[in-house]
Amino acid sequence: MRLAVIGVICVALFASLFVRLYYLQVIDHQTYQVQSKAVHLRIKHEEGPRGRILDRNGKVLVDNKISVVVGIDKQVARGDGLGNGDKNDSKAQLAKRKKVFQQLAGLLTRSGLPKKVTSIETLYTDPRYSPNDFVPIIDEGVTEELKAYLGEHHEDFPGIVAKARTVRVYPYGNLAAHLLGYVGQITESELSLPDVKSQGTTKNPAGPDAKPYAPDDQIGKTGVERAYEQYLRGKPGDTILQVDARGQSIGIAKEPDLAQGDDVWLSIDIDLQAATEKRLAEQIAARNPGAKNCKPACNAKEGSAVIINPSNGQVLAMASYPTFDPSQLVNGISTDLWEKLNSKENGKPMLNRALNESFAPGSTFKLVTTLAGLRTGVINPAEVYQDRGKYKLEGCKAGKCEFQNAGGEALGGVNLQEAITRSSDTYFFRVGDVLWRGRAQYGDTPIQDAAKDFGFGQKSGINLPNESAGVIGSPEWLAAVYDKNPKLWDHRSWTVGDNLNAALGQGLVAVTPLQLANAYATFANGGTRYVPQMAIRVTRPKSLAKPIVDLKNVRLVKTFDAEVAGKVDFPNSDQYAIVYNGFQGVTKGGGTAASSFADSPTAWPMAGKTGTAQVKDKADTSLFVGWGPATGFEPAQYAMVSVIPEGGFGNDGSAPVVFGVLKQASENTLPIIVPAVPQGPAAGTPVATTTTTTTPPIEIATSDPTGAGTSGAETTTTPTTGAPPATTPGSG
Amino acid sequence: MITTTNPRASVRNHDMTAAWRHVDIVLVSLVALTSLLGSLMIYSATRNKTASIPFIDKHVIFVTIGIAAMIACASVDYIKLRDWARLLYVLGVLSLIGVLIPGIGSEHKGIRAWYDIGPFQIQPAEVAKVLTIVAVASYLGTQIEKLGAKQMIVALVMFGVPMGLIMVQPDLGTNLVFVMIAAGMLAVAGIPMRYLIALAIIGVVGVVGILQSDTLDQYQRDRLTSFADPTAATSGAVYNTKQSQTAISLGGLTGKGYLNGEYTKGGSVPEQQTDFIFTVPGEELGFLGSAVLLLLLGGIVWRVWRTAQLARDQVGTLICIGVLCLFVFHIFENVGMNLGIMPVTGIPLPFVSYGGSATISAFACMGLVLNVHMRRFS
Repeated sequence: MRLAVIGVICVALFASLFVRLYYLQVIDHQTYQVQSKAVHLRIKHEEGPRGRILDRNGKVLVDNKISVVVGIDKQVARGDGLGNGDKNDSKAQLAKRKKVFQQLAGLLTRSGLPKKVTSIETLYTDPRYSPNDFVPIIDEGVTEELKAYLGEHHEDFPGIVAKARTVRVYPYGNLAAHLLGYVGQITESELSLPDVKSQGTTKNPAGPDAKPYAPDDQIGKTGVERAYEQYLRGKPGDTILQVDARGQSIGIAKEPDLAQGDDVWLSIDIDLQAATEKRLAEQIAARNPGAKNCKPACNAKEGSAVIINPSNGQVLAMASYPTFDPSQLVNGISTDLWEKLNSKENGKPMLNRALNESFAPGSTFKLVTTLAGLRTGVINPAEVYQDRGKYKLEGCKAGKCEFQNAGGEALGGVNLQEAITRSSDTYFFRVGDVLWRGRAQYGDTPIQDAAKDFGFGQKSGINLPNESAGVIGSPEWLAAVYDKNPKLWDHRSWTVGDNLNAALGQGLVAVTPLQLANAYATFANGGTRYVPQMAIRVTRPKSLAKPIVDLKNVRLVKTFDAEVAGKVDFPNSDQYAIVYNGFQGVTKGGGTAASSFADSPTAWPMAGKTGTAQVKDKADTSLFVGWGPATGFEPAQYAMVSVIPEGGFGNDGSAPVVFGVLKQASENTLPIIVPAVPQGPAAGTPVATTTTTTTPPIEIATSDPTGAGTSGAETTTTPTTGAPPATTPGSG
Repeated sequence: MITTTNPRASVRNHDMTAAWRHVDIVLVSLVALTSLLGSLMIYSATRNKTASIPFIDKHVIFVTIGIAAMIACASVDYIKLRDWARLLYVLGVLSLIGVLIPGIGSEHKGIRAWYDIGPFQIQPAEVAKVLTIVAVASYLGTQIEKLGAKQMIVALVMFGVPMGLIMVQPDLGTNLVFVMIAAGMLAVAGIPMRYLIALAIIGVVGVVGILQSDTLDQYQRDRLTSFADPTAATSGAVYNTKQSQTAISLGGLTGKGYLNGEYTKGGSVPEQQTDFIFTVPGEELGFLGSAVLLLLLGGIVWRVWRTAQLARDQVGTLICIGVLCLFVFHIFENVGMNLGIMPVTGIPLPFVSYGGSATISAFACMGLVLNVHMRRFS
């Protein structure tokens, strides 16, 4: 009897197994078929290595290297019971996590990379990382041994992996850092940029050659890295991994279709760049509070310099001081570092002062006033004007009626050529006065029109991000900004004083160093204004084994040709010659830059103009812009500008920078810069070197002891902020 | 001794001494077929795994030893085994004590349940199950007086000692098997129903108490309760069941074809060659193939049950019932957890799962049943 009952129980048990089996395999078959796909395969988005950035001679300025990062693959870690890293984690998960992290911290510490359990826990629970993210723990100094150990003991370290990733390496240290820019993880807002969006999404790329972005991808943030992103970015692809029960990869179902980005050749000559940065830094250091000819005391802390080839607009060098070390930024930027690199106290080292900031041009602006005077006939080049050191407004009865040369020195009789050579302020005050009083005849804006022709008050069009347009104030402009915010301005109607200031490059005028260099390059080549050019070509290596310097070894993807932005015509060639001679005279006896030129004379003649822009309560901004060879019959090769705020006279602060660099260039004695990091054995091969920081960390400029640095006087450098003019007319 | 209570014995008029003539050919055939199918499944699950000796080679060795053990267990009249039952039982208990001593027994994944002998591991609990069945059957089957509380308690102690030792290892699954064997054998032996009901109540209270206390490790508790509340379990236990069900479901009616299962090839099911071996026929042979396997196993159970009825004495019946309970629990629990209707415990599928001790002890059990069957007339 009891045996029969057991028999019945057995039949019932077997029957239930059959029913369940039938249900799973026949009735529920479809549901599981769909589910199983997701469990089985894992798609891993991968980026192709970025292209390199080269100088005009093929020297590698930015390369790639492999950096090994130890981190936690959260997807695997969660599967192994480490929890999500949020408040829902169970006690068992917390305990397991603690145990694993203790082991990891111990291992890292034994490997000479001390790390605390709490800091790993903080990273794991950081809400920035989604449940399937890779959480980087340590990205420097990870040895091959450590990587291998983690690979062999992955059972003890669930989800913890050491993986190699490609990061940027800078063989020339912080040379050209502003220009090159840096690369970082793409942000939410960058994902909606037009050039990013145009690539489509990783699931739905815009085309076969599109380079769509995933949320963890790298993108150029500033400089050339940003501007030439479309070429530099490698083609991303998906690896489809087969994973086993533990989430460990057991094979690859599909290899990614990755491709390295293209190489961008800049017009920069790295040796010229190095000489420019060096001279600029030396001069900024020299124009300290103890320097001569400064009233008030010089206190140079920043500056910039640009060299352009006048015959095609190619930028040969672009320096900004203070600078920064881009290799600090390759594995992400901490909040601390970001503050340091962008704080006013440290002089905002990441700001590219050559084009992201504008300054009062001072007497260098006389080029523009000259053109306006000649076009209107207000200037008769042959006429001799008596410079008595002061200029009295004609018919002036109230307010400020008298303007004087800087220093009040009387230059005696000067014609146009001498007025330029010796920088007579009263000569150009008169031009500004006559032009304004005769505005019924000459129009409201002859100076502004000439400025526009030389490219001022508008973006030069160089392919670099965040270019400043500068400001060329005009009656219409002043009325508009006044109406917008009347509190900031003391008057709405353009006065004759404003016109005199504009004629001397002061007041409501601000230009970027790049604009200034390009204006003189335009004059030097006879009147063709080019769009300043940053890159000359884009190439793709044919073979990784052959040196890239030989253009036969690469495939040309794109060539950037010179682009004409406009023409500047002088009324006749005689007048052009007179003005040209005036600028030539600047470097000769009697010229405003004669002494500094004599200190470091270039092999060929040079022409140029000093500028000394007055800034309220601070030492003058020192400017010099010039070109060479300036023989009048051969094409000029270099047009160069230097701008040093609080650097004093143009001849003392900036002219030595220009002559110092161009002397070496003209004599062919530029020092050849040897890259600090060994370059890759072949094009495109990421270099697995461990050397990174070859340059000293960012120099932190000392704060202004007089406190003037924090006064409201920097309005001349940032007039676009809408602050009222705080300067008085000066001379150069 | 002639059993006159069996009417068929006198009708057939066989030679009562030639026991081997009465071997249950059907059972032997079912075991052979199941074992062959099992080996094919193990090959499919392990051919991509790297091991110093391939899994399938080791398994063939286990089967061979198992067949030898089966013949050995069938050869000697089980009534003589009864005389050695106490000795065998003590040996079984000693082997369970020995395995707990570090240096003698070895530990895997936190469970101390194996003797390492060269490349092989022996699990004494598997042997102890068989020996305990023989010992308890011998005791309860030969009690002349009416079975009562005393006999029940003696039998419970006989089960309890190895169970206590196994609990120390700890191996929960094997102990659950013991519980089922004990329940079946006590019921069939003729212990009065009121004692059995009282025992069942004590048992239920005990289980709840254990689950509430700290006797079980968290992973054991999770596994036992996960099938009731899947969201509460650790991801590991849920993952195993989920992978297993998915693999089986993917087989559909006719399966993906032998050696063609994606999950089986990719190693996507954890512990596939042992606990989750049923996923291999599930995925590769589909419903039809899996059903055939279940029918083969069911056939074995039917033959064991039939032998329990045919046995010449109570000892034979109880041996068969012990084996029956052991097999039914193993099959239902193992296939059930593969199908997601039973909690995950480390219970192998007889003749199909990879594993030396379990395979050999399953064959030994068959030897005992054959023994009872072929001596039903003697």
